[in-house]
Amino acid sequence: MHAMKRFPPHSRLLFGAKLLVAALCAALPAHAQTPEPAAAPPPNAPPPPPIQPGATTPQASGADPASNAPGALFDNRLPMLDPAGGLLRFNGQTWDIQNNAIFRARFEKYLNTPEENGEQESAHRETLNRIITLLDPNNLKPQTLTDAYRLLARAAGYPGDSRLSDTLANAIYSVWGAKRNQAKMEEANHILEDENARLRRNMAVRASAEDFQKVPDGKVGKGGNAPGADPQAPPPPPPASGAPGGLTLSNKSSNPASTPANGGSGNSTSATTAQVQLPGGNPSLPGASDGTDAASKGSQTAQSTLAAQSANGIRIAGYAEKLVENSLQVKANSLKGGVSEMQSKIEYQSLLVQLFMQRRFHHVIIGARFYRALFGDGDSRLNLPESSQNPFSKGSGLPMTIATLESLCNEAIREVQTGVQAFHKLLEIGEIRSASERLRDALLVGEFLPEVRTLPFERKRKVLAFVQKTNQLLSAIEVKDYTLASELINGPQGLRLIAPDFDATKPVALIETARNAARLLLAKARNAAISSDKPGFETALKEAAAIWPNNPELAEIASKAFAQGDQMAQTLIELDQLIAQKNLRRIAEEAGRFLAATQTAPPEKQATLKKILEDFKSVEAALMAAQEMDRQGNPAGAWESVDRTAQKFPDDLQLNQARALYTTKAADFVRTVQTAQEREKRAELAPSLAWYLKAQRLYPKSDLAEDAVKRLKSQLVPEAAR
Amino acid sequence: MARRASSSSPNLKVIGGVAGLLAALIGAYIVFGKTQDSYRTTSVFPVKEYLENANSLRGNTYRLEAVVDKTLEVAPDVGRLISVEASGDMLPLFVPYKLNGINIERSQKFQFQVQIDAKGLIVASDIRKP
Repeated sequence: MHAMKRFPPHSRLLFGAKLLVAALCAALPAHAQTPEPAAAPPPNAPPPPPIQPGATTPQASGADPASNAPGALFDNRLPMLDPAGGLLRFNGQTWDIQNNAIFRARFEKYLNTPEENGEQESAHRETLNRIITLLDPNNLKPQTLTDAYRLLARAAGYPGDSRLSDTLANAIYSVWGAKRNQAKMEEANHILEDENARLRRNMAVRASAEDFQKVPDGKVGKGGNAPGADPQAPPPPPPASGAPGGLTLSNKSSNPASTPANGGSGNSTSATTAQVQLPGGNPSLPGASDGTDAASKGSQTAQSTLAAQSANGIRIAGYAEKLVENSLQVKANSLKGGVSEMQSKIEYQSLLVQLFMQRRFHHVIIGARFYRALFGDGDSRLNLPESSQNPFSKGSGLPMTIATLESLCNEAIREVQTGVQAFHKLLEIGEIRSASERLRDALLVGEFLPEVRTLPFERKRKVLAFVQKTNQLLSAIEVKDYTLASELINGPQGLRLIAPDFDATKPVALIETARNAARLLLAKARNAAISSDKPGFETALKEAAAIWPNNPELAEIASKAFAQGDQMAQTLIELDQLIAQKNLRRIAEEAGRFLAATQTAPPEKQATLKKILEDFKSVEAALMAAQEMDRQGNPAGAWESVDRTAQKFPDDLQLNQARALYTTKAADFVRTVQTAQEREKRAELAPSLAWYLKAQRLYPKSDLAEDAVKRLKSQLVPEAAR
Repeated sequence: MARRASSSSPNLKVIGGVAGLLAALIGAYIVFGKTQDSYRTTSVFPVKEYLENANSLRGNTYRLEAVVDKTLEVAPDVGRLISVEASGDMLPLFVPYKLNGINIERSQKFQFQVQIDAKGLIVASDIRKP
């Protein structure tokens, strides 16, 4: 990999770095190809947990605990790209998008894939464009929204869509379901509000009845209503805030925070009910102020009307209790509707972000336009963790909204279109390298865009050979096969020939550097071999092999070394065989070869060879002396010379032949000597001496005879030695 | 006719008498001369037989006429070992100390009375000039 990094960066990613972060994330295998359609929530699924005020993102179920680490980017799921170095860091690992096998293989696979130009693809493309047109905000109507939704199902039928349109349709349906649920909640709230109005009127009527009872002249008091009075009369105003024993709950209050602050609806109901006091106390329920006034007025009446007043107060308390229950139910329904809408919004936004990461830009645009129609509250801000928004907000400087996603998608589509156009143009002018890089960039960003999918196969094939050779070059350099790398660059169908714009500066420099270093080490190995420096030879050879394992010169030297080693071993075996045969002449004739072979042999073998060669010298000397004596007419002397040496080397062929020759020439002397030797063996010393004396007479300079005479006379006359 | 027989020369008888006398003298010399030689009854040393098988000659006494070649070894108070040539062959001959009275020099011809000892060595028991 380090060798590959010496390559020039092939691409200049023109697109925004942060966009590529998301795009390259989807380039990783098994994530973007066939995403599973988002499963619609089951109808009887338990409602999601309530979102606490101030919370922005719900925790994903089963989320990695490490995702909560501070500063985690997209919960550690989003990779980071260094565009300058072409490095992608993902999940703790660093990937080189220019040289990485995954990216290279993906690109090569794309180049070998036929284009999608069938009717299905065209229909799918037209369907998506039709949906986008229907969702144009300028022409959006309920009917166009419905039509666009129906077209999603048609778009999902195309295999290349990976049923993402279906997933989007399911998400839209879920939002609609949440919306319908919210509408039902609002309808229920209207009913409860009507019921509350009725209760207030009844309470007012009861309070008026108290007034009728305490007025002696039978006139009706101001503000009082007779039974069956106008039900549309406005209720009396609530008491002043902070009144002793007053209840703060008001049907006009819209602050949702007040309800949770009071500890939930159930507890609030019971607590409020407990605060409702009987006549004679100090009730402060809203809407019951008339009753309270009537009760206070009733206290001024006569003791005779006490029982009637108590019964009337109990009825008023019942109305107040029901009124409180209805008010709490209204607040609970409003809260449920808000939570459901927020939940569906977050799920929908998450789907859009996921589609963006998968580089399904058309689906993101469609989803964004649906979003505006579904959530008409004007709030398009993405409810994602702040750390997850950094790649978008820091790159573009824009707030993270649905509009941001849509604009990035439009920009990406345009970028891919431009890249493909550049590819076609570069291909026409023969700049294969640039064309392949532009196509690769376009593939990384817009792998699923029609411009990339429908690129003609013939045009892709034109850059396939170049891409395959560059990949092969990277692999060759990675394994230090510089022979192949050089051939890939400069060969008959090399990169320089098929792509004139290919910049071979760095790979060639790398190859030459390795080649020179290997040559230097091989020269060092040769010198070490010449000087019999075996460790140095091995070290230099090892270093040369580490630099360039497949170096032909290295193979040549190594084969020679092996052959020499084998030859030496064979020579040593041959030497052993000749020693066993006592064929010293053959050893002496090739003394140089055997001496060289025994250089690395054990010292014992060297000493053996040295003795053999010295012995052979004596044999040669004896033969030469014999020849000279024979030439001077002294065959007896020649025979004696050969015979004496032959005693040491009885198996030497030359000696035996020479001895046979001179035996014939000096037959009398030889016979005399042999007879003397025979007598001596039989312990006939005197006769033996006689024969030796005769031999000495035949050849007076005979050392053999002289030695024998000395030996025998000392034995015959031992007194002389004393 | 008688005359013819009486006519043979009386010198022939003298000449015949002288020749007979000479023959008698020569025969007497031969007979009586050999009788007086001490080696006369000793066998001649069988050189060839000795060289082939000396063991068969052990203990025997022979007469050997040979030419002195060289002195091989001298043992004071014991004798000396010399080599002699007899019948074309070389023989070792031990001359005991008792025979030192005779000067034995190279190339001189001597007559030796010899014996073959247990080792097969030829030992001179007497030496004389031929």
